[in-house]
Parts: sequence; structure tokens; C-alpha cells
Amino acid sequence: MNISSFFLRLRSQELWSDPERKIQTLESFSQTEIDAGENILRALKYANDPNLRTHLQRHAEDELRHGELFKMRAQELRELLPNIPGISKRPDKLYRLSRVHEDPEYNSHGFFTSDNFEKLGEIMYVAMLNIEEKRAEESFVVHCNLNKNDPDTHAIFEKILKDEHYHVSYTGKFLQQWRKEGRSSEVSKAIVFSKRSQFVNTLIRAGSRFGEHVGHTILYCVYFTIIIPFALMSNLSCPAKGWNVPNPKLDADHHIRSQY
Amino acid sequence: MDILGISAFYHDAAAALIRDGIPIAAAQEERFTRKKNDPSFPNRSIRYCLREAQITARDLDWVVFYEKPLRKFERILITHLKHFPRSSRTFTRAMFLWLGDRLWMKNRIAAELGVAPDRILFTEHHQSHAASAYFPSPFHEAAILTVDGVGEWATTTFGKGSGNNIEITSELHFPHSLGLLYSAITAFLGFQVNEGEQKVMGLSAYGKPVYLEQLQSLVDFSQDGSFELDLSAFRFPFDPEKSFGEKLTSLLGEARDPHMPICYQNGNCRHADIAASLQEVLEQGLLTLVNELYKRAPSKNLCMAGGVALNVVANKIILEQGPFDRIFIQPASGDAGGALGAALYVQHVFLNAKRCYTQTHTFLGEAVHSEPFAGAREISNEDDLIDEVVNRLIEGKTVGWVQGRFEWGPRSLGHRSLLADPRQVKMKAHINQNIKHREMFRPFAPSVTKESANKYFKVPHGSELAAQFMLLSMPATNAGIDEISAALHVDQTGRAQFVDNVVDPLFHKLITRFGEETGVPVLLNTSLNLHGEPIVRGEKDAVHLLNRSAMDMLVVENRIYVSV
Repeated sequence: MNISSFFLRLRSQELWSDPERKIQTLESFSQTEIDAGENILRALKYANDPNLRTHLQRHAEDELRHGELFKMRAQELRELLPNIPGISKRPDKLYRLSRVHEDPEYNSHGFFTSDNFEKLGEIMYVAMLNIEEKRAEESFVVHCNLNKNDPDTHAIFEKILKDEHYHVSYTGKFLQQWRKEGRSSEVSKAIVFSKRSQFVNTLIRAGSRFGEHVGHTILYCVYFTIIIPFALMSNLSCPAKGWNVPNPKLDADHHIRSQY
Repeated sequence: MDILGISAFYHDAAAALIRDGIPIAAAQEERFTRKKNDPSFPNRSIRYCLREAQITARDLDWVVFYEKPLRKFERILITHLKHFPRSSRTFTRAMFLWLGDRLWMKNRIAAELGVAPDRILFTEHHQSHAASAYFPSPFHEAAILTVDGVGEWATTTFGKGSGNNIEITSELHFPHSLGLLYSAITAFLGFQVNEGEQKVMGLSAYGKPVYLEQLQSLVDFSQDGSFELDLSAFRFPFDPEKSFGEKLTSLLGEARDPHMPICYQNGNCRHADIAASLQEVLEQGLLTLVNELYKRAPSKNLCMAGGVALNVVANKIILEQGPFDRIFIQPASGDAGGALGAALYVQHVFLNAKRCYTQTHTFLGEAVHSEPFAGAREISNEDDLIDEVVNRLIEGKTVGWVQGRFEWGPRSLGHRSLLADPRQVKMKAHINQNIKHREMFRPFAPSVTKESANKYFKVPHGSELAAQFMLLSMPATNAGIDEISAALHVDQTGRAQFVDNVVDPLFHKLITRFGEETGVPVLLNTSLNLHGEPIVRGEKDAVHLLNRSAMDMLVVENRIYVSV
């Protein structure tokens, strides 16, 4: 187990043992997989090599199927605990894979968006897929092991891991093939760029989470210090009861442009 | 003049585009993202609307957001201050949300759409609701009532519409809200807020209002129609995750855990009784409101919107016992409808354009993209297609029916519907259990040809406008009770849809043909979706549903899929 897997395991243990966060994580994974599948479906239109298109098609179908598996498992668990808010209402803090930040260059799976596939070409795209699928495979091994006490969820991860292995394998083979065709420097550049992008992406995500914790702490401090006198003042005022007459809008044009 | 209206961030995000006062396209984001009640910024709905109008965002004349973000923030901040220190947990979360994102709405819309900031407008939340109810109505003047959970501050408003102007004349403010009262009891009964209210309404038919006194003690109605909630029983002002307090438990008994059975039959009807009591309180409240509204804005016509206007049982009471002769209710009465209302408000009030539109259908969504899947069988002749579907229905099969553009609002009105024979009693249990996987007490709705409606239902005078959109519950006649029991609720009422030959000739033809074969021109009509999912968007979702459920057959345009 490498270092990142070790830390992932540490972070994830608590998550999988909490029924509510487990459901939310499965739903988050589902969205990530579906986003990935849809992205690949859009991207494969730009692939010139029919062999690559075939593999990408299968890859996309796999991702969509993974999304369904996670979604259905979450639904089964939700039937036991139906009052848990959905992730759109209360995203799980550690696994907001789909919504940590909205970067137009990367989607939640770390892929380039399909717009960039056309601009940057298939080598870069396949290199990114290869790097991301390796990362996904490693992380799913951790999640699979952490769900050994839940046979149904464990089985889903095992199924998915087989597909992830194929994804790593076929993308790796394409990169090797391009090396053999004399495009070695392109492939190397693409891999370096992808790894760097992944590193930057990880830093951004970590920074975002750290910023969130710091933000919450600051707001909490503000609440119990600066807010107090205003809270006391607000409790002195009596809200108007019964019917209120809306204030006349003296300047209708200004009013409709205003956010207040 | 192209105007895009947007609603987002609380629940039911949506976009609606009007051109010279006529809606070109409108859709809820959930149909595209497949996340029920999706509140996020409706990028996909907006893209759909622009595609339908064949324009880009830069071609838009105006973009209007359906509420005033700063005023809403004011309410949230003041509410947190008032409930110090109990609001500590939600304060940080709310501030993160607002300071990080929602306060900067103008910039966000400008950045997302590439529109100049001076082209972005903001209506008030209840103005959007009022506009969504009045401007699509056929009335030249009307009294307007909007009732929901809460907008910026207002929870209930009186207004009047005349020509191409509307005016909100009075408001009741948060936290005194019939919508939030209903939601709190919905949560008490173990259902999810913003989804479970319809279930509570359905459950109420199984109970008696034995808790009426207890619930009435929580709401103090005044003679002028205003009311105050006993806030000691509720936590929703400062705790969005638990909306009721210990006082409610002491009045009504233990709250229901979501995974515990619902008590509505076999001698134990406690939950149904609470639902029935709540329904009675709501109806009393709404009746008091409409009577007061009539005094302030005397008119034969009433327009209604806001989430509470989706309570079809209360709507019937308002029409039957209230002072108004005719009623129009916006089919997308919840927050999604605010997108359309905001656009119409800008068109008629801000730009002073004359009205030129009356809403006769809800088919504003995306059309079916022909993308046949393996196993599809095409039938080119329309009559042959209809005959095949009718025969399957008579055999007791369930048929998914996907045609044209999907509906705007929560009701399936013949374009994304699951149909069955309403004469076969077993259909109710079969569809609830094996297809929709939902609670067995949930009723279905009947779609009847307009000309046959009076045979099966006691149609209240003035209900035709609401009935075309399934917005009114009405009692069945003896013929209805005898012949279409599967499509009626346990109290022999139905949320009927009157199908007009002019508005939807194909659906009308299907029902008519069914009537010719069986003598009963009525179909059981429920939305085409699985429990917990939005209604299907197009062919792909519908085929997916066929493969995952016990539905027997699916018809998409002229293609038939059969379950294997």
C-alpha cells in the first residue's frame, strides 16, 4: 500500500462505518462515474482511431454501469434509512468528488472536458485517462477492503475493480503503441502533464477543504463574538404581526434591477 | 423580445423562456440531471430553452431571477440572530453558502450566460408566483393568492391583477407560514420535506380529524385572514434539519421514524388521523384567506400559485365553499413556476407589453429525440398503434406513454405517463408495489375525455381550468365509483384530468378508443418514473425504466417496446 492509499484508508474508515455518510458517498461516487461516462461518450466522437473509439465506448458504458450500481446500492441502503438528506442538500465533506470546485478544465473525475480533447488531442486524453484510472483503481482497492463487512457493497467494488483494471490496461497499451510509432516524446509529455495536473488538482482539492475548515472556524468565532450584540438587539425588536403592506416602489425600474 | 426566467437554489430549479410574451420552452433541471428536486443552477434547462428558441444566451433581451437574493439573505441572517445561540450550527453553513455563492447572483448569471449585468433583473419571490398564476390565466382581472413555505420574507400574499398589471397588496411574513406548518407535520410523519407533502395529502383520506383541536391550538387565525403559528412547537426557524419540537410530540404523540410502518388501516390510523387533521387546518386557513381576499379584491376570478396551491383537496374546498366563481392555478405552482412567472412579470409589468397568451397546456419541455433502442417495433399507422395500446390495456397490461414534449410542472398529462385500465381494481396495488415501489396508500389519477367528465365526476362549477391540469380533486359519481375504482382514492374522489381534443388530440384519441371498446373513456394515469426519481425525460430514460420495472409495454412516439 502506498502513502496516498494509506492516508485514504485512514480518512475513509470513519466514513464507511457511518450509515448516513456511506449512502451519501455511494451517491457521490455514482455521480462521478456517470459524469465520467458521459464525458467519455462525448469525447469519443473526436477519436479518429476506430480501435480507440471501440475501447472508449466500452469504457464509457462501464462508467455508466458503475454509476448505476452505486446508485442502486445507495437506494437499497436508503430504504433502511430514508430520511437521510440527499447529497445535494448535505454533501459529505470528504467525498464531494463531484462538487469540490467547478473548474471548467476538469470535471469531477479529473478528466479534461470533451472540449479540450478536441484541442489537445487523443494522446493527452488517453494519458489523462490512464493516470486517473490508476488512481481510481488504487482508491477502489481501499474502499473495497473497507467494505468487507458489507458483502453487497464489497461485491460492487469487486466488479468495478475488474473494469478499472481493463481501463488501465487498454489505455496503457495505446500509450505503448504510440511510443512504438515514434511518438514517444508526445506520450512522455502527456504523462508528465497529466501527473502534474493530477497533483495540482489534488492540491486544489486539499486547499479547498482546508479553506472550508478555516472558514467554518472563523465563522464560528464570529458567531460567538461579533454577532452577540446584534443578536441581543434583534431580540429586543418585535416583528410586525399580521398583514404587512409592501413598501411602495418609488422607482420601479431601479427596484426590478436591484437584488434587494 | 426574448426573456429568460430562472429559479434555483432552494428546490426545483428551472428555466423558462418567453418570446414576445409567449412561452417557448420551460423545464425543471431535475429532468436533465435526473436528481429529484435538483436545486442547483439550471444550466441544462437553460441550454435546452436556448436550443428550443434557436438563440444563444447573448441574444437574450433580459434575464430575470425569480427572487431577491439580498432580501432573502436579510431574512436568514436576522432569523439566525433572533435564535442565538441555538442557530450556531446552521449559521456557519448558511453563511458559507450565501457569502460564497448566493449573494453574488448577478455576477454568476452574467458569467454563466455571458450576458451584460444591466440585462439581469430580479423580481420578488411572490411576485413571480403571482405572475405565474395571473398572466397565463384567461382572466382580464382577478384576485391573486400565493401561499408557500417562504420567499424572501413573505409566506402568503394577497394581490390583484388587472389588464397587464399585478400588484401585491398585503403579505404575511416568516415564520408564520401554512406551507412550513404543513412541511413540519410532513417531517413529523416521517416523510421527506418538499416531497412528502403530497403523500400526507393522500394519507389524509384514510383518517379522521381527531387531532384537529391539537393542531388548531398551534395556529391562531384572525378575523382578517392572517394567522400566527405557535413557534414553541417548531424548530424550522433555526434548524432546517428538524422542523418540529417537543411540544408537537406532547400534543400528537411520538413522531414517526421514517422506516417504521405508516398507520392508516386495520384499526390503527394514527398517522392518517394526524394527516386528516392537518388537512382540515389547512383548508380552514385557506378558506379564511380567500374570504378575506374577496373582501379586499372582489372579483369572480381567483388565481393561485405557490407550493400550497398543489394541494388539490384544498383547492376543491376553496372552489366549492369560497366566494370565487372561477379559479386558475399555475400547473407548475412550486418554485419552478417562479421562473415562468418572473419572465412574464418582466414582459407585462416592467415592459408594459399587452397580454397575448393563455395557458391551455403544459407541453413546454423537450421533445422526444428519435433514438430507437434495440427491440423497438415501429407502427407507422396511428390507428393501428392506438388499437394495439388499447388492447394491451384491456388485457390488464401497464403501458408507458411517451409523446412529444414533456410536461412543465409535476403532473404527467399524457406526454410522459404510465397508463392502465382504471376498471381493474388490482391495478392500484400492482402499480404501487411492482412498478413505482411506493406506499400502498398512494392514489392514482384518472384522465377522462372532457366531454365525458360529467358522467364520472361531480364537476364543481368553475373547475374546468384547474381540471385540465389535474389540480383539483373531485368526487366521483356512482358511475365513476362503479367503473373506474382503480383511478379513485379511498374516499371515492379523483384528481381528474379533463383531456381536450384540441389540446392533445392523440391522447384524446387513445382515451376515446379505449372508451369505444370498454364503454369507459377514462384511463388511469400516473407519472412515468420510479420512486425517488424525476419523471422520465425521453426515450432513453423510459427504456431504462421499462428494463428496471414490471411495466409491460412502452410506447415512444410510434415505437413499441415490450418488457422481456
